[in-house]
Amino acid sequence: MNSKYFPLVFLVFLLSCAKDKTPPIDPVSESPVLNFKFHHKAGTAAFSFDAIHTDDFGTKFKFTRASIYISRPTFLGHTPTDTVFKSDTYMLVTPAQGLYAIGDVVAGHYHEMTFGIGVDSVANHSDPATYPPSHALAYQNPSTHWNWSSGYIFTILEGKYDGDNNGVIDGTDPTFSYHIGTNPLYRKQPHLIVHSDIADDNTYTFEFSIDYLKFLDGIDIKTEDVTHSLTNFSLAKKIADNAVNVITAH
Amino acid sequence: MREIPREKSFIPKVDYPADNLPTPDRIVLGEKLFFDPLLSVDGTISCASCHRPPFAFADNVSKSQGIVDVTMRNSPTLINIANRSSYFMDGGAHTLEMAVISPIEDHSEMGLNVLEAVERLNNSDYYTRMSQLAYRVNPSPFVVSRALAAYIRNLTHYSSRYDEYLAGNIKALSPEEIAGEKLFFGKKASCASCHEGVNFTDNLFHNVGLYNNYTDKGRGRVTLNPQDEGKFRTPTLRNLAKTAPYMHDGSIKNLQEVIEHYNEGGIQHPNRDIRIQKLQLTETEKAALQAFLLTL
Repeated sequence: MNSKYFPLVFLVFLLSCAKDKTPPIDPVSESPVLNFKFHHKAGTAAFSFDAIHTDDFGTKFKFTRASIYISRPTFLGHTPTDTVFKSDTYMLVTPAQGLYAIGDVVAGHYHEMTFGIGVDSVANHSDPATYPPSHALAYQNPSTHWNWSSGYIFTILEGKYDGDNNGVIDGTDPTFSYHIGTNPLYRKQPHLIVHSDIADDNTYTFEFSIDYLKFLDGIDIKTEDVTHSLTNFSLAKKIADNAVNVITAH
Repeated sequence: MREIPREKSFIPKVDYPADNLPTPDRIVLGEKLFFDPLLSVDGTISCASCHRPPFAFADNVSKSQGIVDVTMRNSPTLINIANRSSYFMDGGAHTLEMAVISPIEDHSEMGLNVLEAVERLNNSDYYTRMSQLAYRVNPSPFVVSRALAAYIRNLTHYSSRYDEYLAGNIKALSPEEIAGEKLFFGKKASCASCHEGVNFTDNLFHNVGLYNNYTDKGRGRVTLNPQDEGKFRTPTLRNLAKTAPYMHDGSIKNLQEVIEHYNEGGIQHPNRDIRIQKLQLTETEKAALQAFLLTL
């Protein structure tokens, strides 16, 4: 062997020995991944923009637009003070989408959970232009943000109702428009039982139903057909209060 | 001896947001956007349609014409508005960068979703090139908001006759105007208790007794507090000669009538500012006050 190759051969020998003596390393565990899946409902039926519904006062109506912000889910252990994981995720939930990524979480027993219905007061006044386009708090089309008050529209429900009582909803019928926002109308979801053991290296999906008709419990669409929160605040508050009963866990 | 402190001639340093420091490219891009009707849904209205340069970037009508309707309020001047802690007459927008998107998306003003505006800009070689130069990204809501704000923040004017006077040119004001100045800062008219500082505004919200029932709730629209109903931001008095008509809704057509409103103490309202009282100004004093205001 040419002597000029000796150092290289020796180095390879050393590295080989060192490798042989290193104890085997366990593969690194990956954090568990969590998704939310929403089943969009109108009562017991699947939600459809084509479906005709009847409000508590007998007026037929249909939705033309619906969306709701859900924010920062928090997962608890067996006691309300035992927070297992807090996520900074914001979701703009619409009937067009079922699956939402929460992303990496931590392993543990997730007994209960809650989240914000709307956008918390800090994020509510953030600048939508600063978020990446895919973020729920970025500018949307159609818009979910009130630029004039620097705040998000937590819940949007729009549609038409049978104003002339002819049994059909057509082009001449009036519209309803409920835009719920502002900090006083932010609500916390009452705790939902999820009772799941979350382990590393796995992907989990928590499933929920969201019943859009429950937003309108006790509302006479014919006489209460519009609120943009600052106009007819009492109606907006009624819808915000109803929002805590809209989502159930499977 | 004049009672006016010299520091009123001080030109304030602009507080630039960290994510939107001014550069020539950003200001040029903002100016182009400001005058471009491409930002309205039907391509007929630009920011400059309501904020017109000859009128100190205000308008000369009570309410300006948007794409389908007139605007909700009188179009305010955009000069010297850089350092505010909130924007709009009710303080609803927290930053200038957020405020500039509002008229673009407002249904009665320009009526165009900002994402659609961005799509249009991305189809333009000029805008994509300028956006890259200014912010190193293609047009986005971030670019539109930052560029427009950069341009507007750059609209300053501190060279009025009164500025000249404060700088030492005592001939810049007539004796009548100087008499008006004394009234303005003095106890009798006490205008400066709200119209204070280099821009003649405390930037706070006051009910000045314009109506006994406000259809536009002003600050109350934002805070939902009934005690804020009918309160609007104290407007700057700079460039008054160019910004008629006056008040939040443009309901008073000239300065003489504005002075008369305050001289009469306004209309009774539970939220009316306690300082809005009958002033008992003589005709000579009213004329002097008006003469002074037109020097700002």
